[in-house]
Amino acid sequence: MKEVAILGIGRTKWGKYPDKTWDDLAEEAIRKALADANVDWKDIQMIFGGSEPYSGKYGLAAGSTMHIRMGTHGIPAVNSYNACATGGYALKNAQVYIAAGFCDLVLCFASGISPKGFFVPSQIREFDQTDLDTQRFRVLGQTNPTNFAFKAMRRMHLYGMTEDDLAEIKVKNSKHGASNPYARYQKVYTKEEVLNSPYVAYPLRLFEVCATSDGAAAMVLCSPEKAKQFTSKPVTLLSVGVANPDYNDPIASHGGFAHNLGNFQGDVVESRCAKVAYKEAGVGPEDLSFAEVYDLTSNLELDFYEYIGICKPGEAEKLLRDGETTIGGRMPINPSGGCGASGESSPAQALYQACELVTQMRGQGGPSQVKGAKLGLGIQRGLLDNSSCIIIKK
Amino acid sequence: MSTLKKQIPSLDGWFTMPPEKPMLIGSRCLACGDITFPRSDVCRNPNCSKDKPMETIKFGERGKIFTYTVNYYKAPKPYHSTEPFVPYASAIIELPEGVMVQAMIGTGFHENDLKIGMEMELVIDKLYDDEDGNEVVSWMYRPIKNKK
Repeated sequence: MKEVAILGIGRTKWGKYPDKTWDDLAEEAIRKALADANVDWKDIQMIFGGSEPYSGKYGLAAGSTMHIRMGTHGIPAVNSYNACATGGYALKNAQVYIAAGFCDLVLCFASGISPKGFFVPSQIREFDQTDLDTQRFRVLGQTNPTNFAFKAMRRMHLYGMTEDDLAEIKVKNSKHGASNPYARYQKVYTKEEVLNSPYVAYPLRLFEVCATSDGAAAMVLCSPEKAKQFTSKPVTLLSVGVANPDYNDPIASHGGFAHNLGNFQGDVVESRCAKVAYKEAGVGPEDLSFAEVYDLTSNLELDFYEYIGICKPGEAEKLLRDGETTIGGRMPINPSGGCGASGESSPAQALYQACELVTQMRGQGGPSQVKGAKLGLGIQRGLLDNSSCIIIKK
Repeated sequence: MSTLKKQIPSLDGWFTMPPEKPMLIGSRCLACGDITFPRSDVCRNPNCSKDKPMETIKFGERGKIFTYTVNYYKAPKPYHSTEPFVPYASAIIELPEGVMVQAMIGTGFHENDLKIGMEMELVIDKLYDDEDGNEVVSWMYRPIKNKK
């Protein structure tokens, strides 16, 4: 797969913006990315945008909406919604269009305004039996943390993860995120504070569950040839792996109430997605300088150590306890502070991670800079298990 | 359980109703044997020849806890919470039929009352009282009684 140059990045600070709309946030991020790239809006040839159902019809047509808001000049817009993988798919589309020669200077963005507290169905059709998102709340009482707690309980059972481990992940990531100007939370937590927060879904506590948040991120990308007009040292998007789960994937939800247990020998969806990204980039986990993984809850961070191949199944706890995944360790994970520090703006989170990768490659990570960072990975898992994995090099 | 209240299923046709023995209602593919819950007219197995129809089956009488949690925060609507909110347990149950089913366990369970691998039985029990005074019942799994 062909490489693509990243010319500019822009983000809002993640937070709660009750007086703003998703398109207000998107405009801020887009203007910052254009300024960072030193590219004029009218020179953008194509736009790849995404938001989410909470943003309504115009959010589902996010690229077209922002094209009008920024000043329409007739370029095509690809609108994508893939929940947490929205930004990943937007980047993938941009990469493919540029590589195929359809265009050579494009804008990617994603923006979201989240409900306060738990994510809820975007429209409630209480007795519609086909609306499984409504029925999982109504009949099963399943919030997102419920599902993440299911995974945490398996990890405790199989690999001996402890409640201390869960708290230590939050402590580590809060230290990493303390200097991140785009993170919603800069507070450094102690283990005691985390362990004194109430359970949300056992064994997960309030401070181990990331906060639903608002935020937008944007990126200007172009062909490596065109990039020479703007900069001598662009950061490079090597690959975006995208994947859905196998039929018998034992941990996939498949958006349903039941699934069959085959003799599953393959990779779970996050591993599939990471392998696709590694293959397309021509690199492996041993080449990474660090990674940004989707720690919606603390336990998921440990799962991701294994999914991205930096250790074998069951070894993640040891990496954490040995300090290997702290900045200064062998493989820093979430030097940005991860979702624990930023909160999650689900459609924009993949691009938030991608912006973090670029910031590190530029050596602009401040106190959270990973020394000698040359290759970074960001990975996301979304609704119906649709996932994406982004690899960026210096 | 009040005999005055009318019992209605949380989802129509997903499980048997009292006084019938508690069972889930799903479909089995006559070609590959895979089960769907709820019922489906099509088999989703990508490796299936799909040259035979789906049959309706009743299943899920007993199973084991694959994983579970206790929910300590009030879930948003359309979850019907009592006031004050009471924590409730939920789980994924592994059935001998070769299927994992998501299930409510219900209120009154502490995390130490349950364990991965624990033998469970299907019950049809109250989920909530609706505005018309009906008792909405649903499928739930509970530790098997008379067994320590």
